[in-house]
Amino acid sequence: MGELKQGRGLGDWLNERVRLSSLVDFLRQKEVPRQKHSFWYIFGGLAFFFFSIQVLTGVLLVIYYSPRPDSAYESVRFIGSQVPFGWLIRSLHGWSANLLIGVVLIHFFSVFFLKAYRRPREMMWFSGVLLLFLMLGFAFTGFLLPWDTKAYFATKIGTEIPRTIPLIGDWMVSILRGGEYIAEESLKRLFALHVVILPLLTSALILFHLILNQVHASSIPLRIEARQPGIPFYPNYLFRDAISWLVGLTLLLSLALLWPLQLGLKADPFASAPVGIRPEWYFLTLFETLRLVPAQILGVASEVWVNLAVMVVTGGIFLVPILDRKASRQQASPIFTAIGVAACLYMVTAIALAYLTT
Amino acid sequence: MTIADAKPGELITRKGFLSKALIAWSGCLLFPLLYVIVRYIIPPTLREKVMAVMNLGKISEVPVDSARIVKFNKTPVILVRNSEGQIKAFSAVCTHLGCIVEYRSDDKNFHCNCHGSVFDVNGKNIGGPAPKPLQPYRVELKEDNIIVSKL
Amino acid sequence: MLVILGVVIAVMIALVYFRMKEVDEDAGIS
Repeated sequence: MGELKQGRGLGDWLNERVRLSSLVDFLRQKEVPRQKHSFWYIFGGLAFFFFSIQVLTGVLLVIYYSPRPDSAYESVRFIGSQVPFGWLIRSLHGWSANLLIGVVLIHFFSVFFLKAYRRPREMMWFSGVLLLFLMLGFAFTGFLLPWDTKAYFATKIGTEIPRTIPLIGDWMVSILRGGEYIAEESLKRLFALHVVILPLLTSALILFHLILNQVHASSIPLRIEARQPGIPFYPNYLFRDAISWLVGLTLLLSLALLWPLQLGLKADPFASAPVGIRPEWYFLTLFETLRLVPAQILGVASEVWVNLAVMVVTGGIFLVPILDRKASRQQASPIFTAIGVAACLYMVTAIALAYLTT
Repeated sequence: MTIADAKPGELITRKGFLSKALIAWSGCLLFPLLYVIVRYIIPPTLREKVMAVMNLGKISEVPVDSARIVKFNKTPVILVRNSEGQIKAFSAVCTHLGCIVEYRSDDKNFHCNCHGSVFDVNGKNIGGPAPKPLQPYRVELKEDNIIVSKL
Repeated sequence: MLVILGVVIAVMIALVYFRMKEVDEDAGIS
């Protein structure tokens, strides 16, 4: 214990054993560029913050949650009414999910418009797009777990959509549902996805995504000059991260305390779908598209066309760094900017229409 | 006031203050956070219906020189009918480490298979590591119903 | 309750913000 008195105490004790100093030195070296659009850098870390909230509140919820149709609803009601602060943990989990998807979308679009995906950061884009879809997967699988009316119908409809995919459609639907119908098997496997499979995949991809961010540092947009010196990541940029997280936390707490999550009626597979039923906002683009497309085009059902369109769009999104050759040659690519603007406008319009007409 | 104007002691105090204040404030916030998590994790006490007296079956269901384990609220209770036809009731929970005992009619004792405790037909601990006798229950017979209550 | 939390977090943000200003000065960032 005499060693503890030498040097600066706890820091040195740890450093001798764990060599944190090399990590801290690297983080001091790593710089975040200062340029006109640096503001947008904050959203990646903010997404990570909300994801961490999900992990913490999720672990707490899984202690009391029961993933069987006979007890799922009752366990959620138990959490909300009998468990101390259960209502709070559940509300935080639900609201943070919405904020997480919102922030991930902002991050996605800002990276897209600033063309941060261009060489050599293509792998960050690929892992990022996968993470975006994993987050939507979390939202979809998590939504069923309370087993109330809304959850049941949302899952029934959502898992019906892949049916019109040629060749593998029916097979995909039965894999998602654990059978032909939404039942105990569906709940079990969507729970496994939500609590084990998706977290494992997400953790691996986040690690990969973060490591690449260390390797490449943040991208500076084309034809923009960065001021010197850059911001040292530790401790300077971390303080900026911390402020954004505190602001995010304030927003989250306000939402959770002012509009706590409710629980509908227990799911009844034989009841009619309620009036005005619609998915959560992040699925409304797809929802409204399905409603707007005419029932048949060229003799083929609209669902087939929409599925086809979704696959093409998803593939396109994934391959942006490869498709946008100009950006990879560090040249302006206004076509892609225009496509992005059109996509944003379409999304906003579809969501607004969905809200106005249900 | 520039750095040049400040006395050395003053400057160090002000810089140190913010850093220390930040650590102190965050440290304090840790307590309410941990409080919420710990209160959440501690299982809520459920008010359950506890019966003082229960009808645990008909005497005809327990043959002479045999035993049956039944539920008294949440406790397993072993009903034993000795060779004279009398019914006794004991907690079936071994007083050693909580395994459920069984009645063997060959030696007319209760045996615990976990660590070898033995209790006689009156519940007294006569062998093995059990430190205390099996907890007895009061048995009354109403017609041929076995009525059990706590002593 | 929300007001109390809001004040607590506001103090936290202020502390972080001013500490950030200090380390920015050290690093030569305006």
